[in-house]
Amino acid sequence: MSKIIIVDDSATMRSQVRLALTPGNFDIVDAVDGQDGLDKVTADPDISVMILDVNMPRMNGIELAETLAENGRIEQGLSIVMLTTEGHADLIQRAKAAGAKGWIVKPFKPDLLLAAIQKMAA
Amino acid sequence: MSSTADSNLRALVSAEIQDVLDNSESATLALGENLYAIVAKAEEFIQELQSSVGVIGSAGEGSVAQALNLQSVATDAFVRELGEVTSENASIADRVIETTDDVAKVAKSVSDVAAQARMLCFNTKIEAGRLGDLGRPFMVIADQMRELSDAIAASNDRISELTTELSPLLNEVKDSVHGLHGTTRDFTVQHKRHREDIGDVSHRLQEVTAQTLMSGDENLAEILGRSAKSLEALQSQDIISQKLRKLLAMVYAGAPERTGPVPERFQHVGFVSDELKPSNECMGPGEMEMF
Repeated sequence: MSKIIIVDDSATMRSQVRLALTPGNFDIVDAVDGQDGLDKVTADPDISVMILDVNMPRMNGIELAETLAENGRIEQGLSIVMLTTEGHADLIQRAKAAGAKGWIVKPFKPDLLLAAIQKMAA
Repeated sequence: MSSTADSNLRALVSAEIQDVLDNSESATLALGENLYAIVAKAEEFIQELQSSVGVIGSAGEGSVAQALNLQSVATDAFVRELGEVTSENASIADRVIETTDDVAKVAKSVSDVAAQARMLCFNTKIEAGRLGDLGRPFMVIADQMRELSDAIAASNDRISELTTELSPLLNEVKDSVHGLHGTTRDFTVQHKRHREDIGDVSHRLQEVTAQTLMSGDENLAEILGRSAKSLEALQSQDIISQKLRKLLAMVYAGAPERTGPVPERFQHVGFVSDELKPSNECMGPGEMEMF
């Protein structure tokens, strides 16, 4: 069973993503901001997919993706999908350069998110 | 004096916005869970309906000859099985309707939050007016809050509208399933009355089943579609909340002597793109790109 982390400061959004992924039968953990996401993904090597918001307190999603690229966690097999209200080309380019695998602009369609994550976790 | 009044107002506004935010977040959370419950129950219902039609359909093939050849005990067992399956479907339909009612209740509480926010804007404007020049920044904040609360109300109205439209569809499905259940009961009665009637009743049962499936499939597809739209509207509300949090951080920053430092959950909650030059190559809401 693939382990997935949802990093978003909104409880509503974390709940919606979790519910959208229910049919995929994943093992899902939550993180409430970028720093919490970094701590959890560093401590747990079993996490293979990260769904990552951009605008968050303490550490934003772009900074987290770049940190995970620098410390080698992405190279070790962590796949990142950005899920955010942002759609600016410069931010997408930074995430792509850090090694993110996809960018989804909120509001998301649950079936499309599930399909993308299933493909990534396979 | 003026400075004290200014920081008092900031403290009051920040406390009120925080209250609105907390209420809005808990309401949208509950709304989201209920909407997903509807989708899950509707999907469960489709599966039940399809599998029950499989049972009825396979028994219906060559039903006249088959039924006439069945011994009474075997026929009774078959009818009992049909009864159990259709009864289970009827009970799932009832549960879907109950969940829809829950959504309507939560949607009402979101509307109450939006109304509360509008009242807060109104009061803020009055207080800001009393402060004269010092109150001008609050006029701007009050206008922005008013805009946000209108957006919350519009988004919530859409959810309420969709939920209201769901009810007749659900009742139609429910009636149709209850009708099938009734026909199954007729089958038993008819069987006891006269074996020769079995053929006719069996044929009727097949017809009603086909009608139920057709209307059930169409209505349930509609229900799933509308629930998905409601969930998208809910996400839009969350985006509005994010803007409200940014506003709250601004208010906190303006009166640190009264409110203390900006709480961690409201720090750095602006939009990263605010610091970038506008671009023509932006992705829009709902778009997805895999690299």
